[in-house]
Amino acid sequence: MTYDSEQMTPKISDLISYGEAISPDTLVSVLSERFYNEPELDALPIVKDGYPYGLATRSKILTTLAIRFGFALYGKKPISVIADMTPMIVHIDESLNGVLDKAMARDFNDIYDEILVVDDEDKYVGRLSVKRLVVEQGNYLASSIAQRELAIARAKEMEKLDAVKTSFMAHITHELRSPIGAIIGFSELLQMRHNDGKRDDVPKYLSLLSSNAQNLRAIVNNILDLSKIEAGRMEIHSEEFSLCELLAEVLETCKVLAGDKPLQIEIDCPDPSIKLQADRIKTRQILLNLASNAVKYSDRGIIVISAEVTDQLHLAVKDTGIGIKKENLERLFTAFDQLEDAKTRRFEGTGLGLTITRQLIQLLGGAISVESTYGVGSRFDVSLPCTTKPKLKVAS
Amino acid sequence: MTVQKTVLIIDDDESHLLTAKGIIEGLGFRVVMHNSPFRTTETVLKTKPDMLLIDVNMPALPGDQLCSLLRDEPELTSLPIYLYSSNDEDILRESAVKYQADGYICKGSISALRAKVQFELGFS
Repeated sequence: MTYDSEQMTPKISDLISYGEAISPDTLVSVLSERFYNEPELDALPIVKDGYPYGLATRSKILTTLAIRFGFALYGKKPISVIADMTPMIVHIDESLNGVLDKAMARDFNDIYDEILVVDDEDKYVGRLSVKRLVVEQGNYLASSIAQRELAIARAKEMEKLDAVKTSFMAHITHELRSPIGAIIGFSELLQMRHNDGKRDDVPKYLSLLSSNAQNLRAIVNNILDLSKIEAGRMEIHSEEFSLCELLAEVLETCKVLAGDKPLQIEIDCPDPSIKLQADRIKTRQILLNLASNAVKYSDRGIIVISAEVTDQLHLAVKDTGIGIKKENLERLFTAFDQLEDAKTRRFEGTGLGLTITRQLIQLLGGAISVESTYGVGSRFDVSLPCTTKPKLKVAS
Repeated sequence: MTVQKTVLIIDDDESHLLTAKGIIEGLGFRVVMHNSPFRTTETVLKTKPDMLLIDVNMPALPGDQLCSLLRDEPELTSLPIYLYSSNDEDILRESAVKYQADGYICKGSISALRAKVQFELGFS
């Protein structure tokens, strides 16, 4: 290992892997087969005419293919369609500490992603493994106790992220399989009843079959929505609509969701004549996600869904539900992270709802905030940019 | 006349209770359902099942841990207990060993459910 003369920090040039790179035209199917066949292959840089072009990472490519049922969609497409086309690129002379600081500042989904290295002419030289950089830095920092603590903290942070991802996989697997298992079971029972002619249980089986199928659809939609947002493929369609009608629509759905619970659900709507120019579908989804959460996590009391239009559209959902502990508020919007342990939690769901909600709000250029008291209730506030069209009064 | 053998199913999910019940009854066995991880020891001792299916993901007490608790009861050391779950098969296989279950059955795999029940209880 060589060190910068002044700061004595390790340089990255000794840590570069010079393995192969692939062209952006490589087919997704060819690459995924390689990932399957070569378990030690973590990532392949995509290089065009000697310049870095992108990065194909094992976990992201295989996850994309798996969760979007993607072989049919992407198998015959070039890798550039689903690979990361904005990988982190560093210059060969940068210091290890500098590179690691940048690498760790990335979104946590990207922290493990390999880093591409270029020379003075910006041409591709090789790639760096973040894990190896962390190990090297740890070795180097071990000489200084204070800095060693920093290295340990970082290693722990990475372990934590790893744990979140592992628990997500277990969680989503269960949430997808559970309704599928029920659907298969009820289909089999209906077949049996058809054969033996005993019809007594048939209406109950059909109703549970249908609710499991709808539950499955909701989960699949959530996963597809999230991957669409994360892939940057969610588009905004602005249209004119009535705010009050939208609130009424959400209210009706919530009443169905509440079923027999002793819950009072109210809407607080401004001037019924107000027409908004905004993305109706996404606004509805945001409001419905928050309101259906309120129903899900409240056993009794009042839920108020309110809207107000100033220079922005303000939406609020207030409930008298289980509330959220202060220390858990931060984790609330983290993907796949329901606050309860998956094995023992009381509430069904993928833990994707609030993540999708927040991503949709960000996509629309808005903001979300939450106030909550554990055991008392929660209030979610959303502001979204919009333009209003007050109804013109027709002269009689 | 032989006494009808009994399978006890512990699961908090109504859909899975009913499907397993229907399929096992279709094999000619009696089924008792219990819809939470609580008061299970009592139910098991009262029902005296010939086989026990336990769901894993349940509120408050996971089924795999419940399995090892039941296993500690002197009367239940030889009762066939299976984890019955939608979890990943690799995890189930490990949990079954770790928590002293006789095996596991993946929800949705009807042929496995029938096969395991008939393996333990024979043909009615």
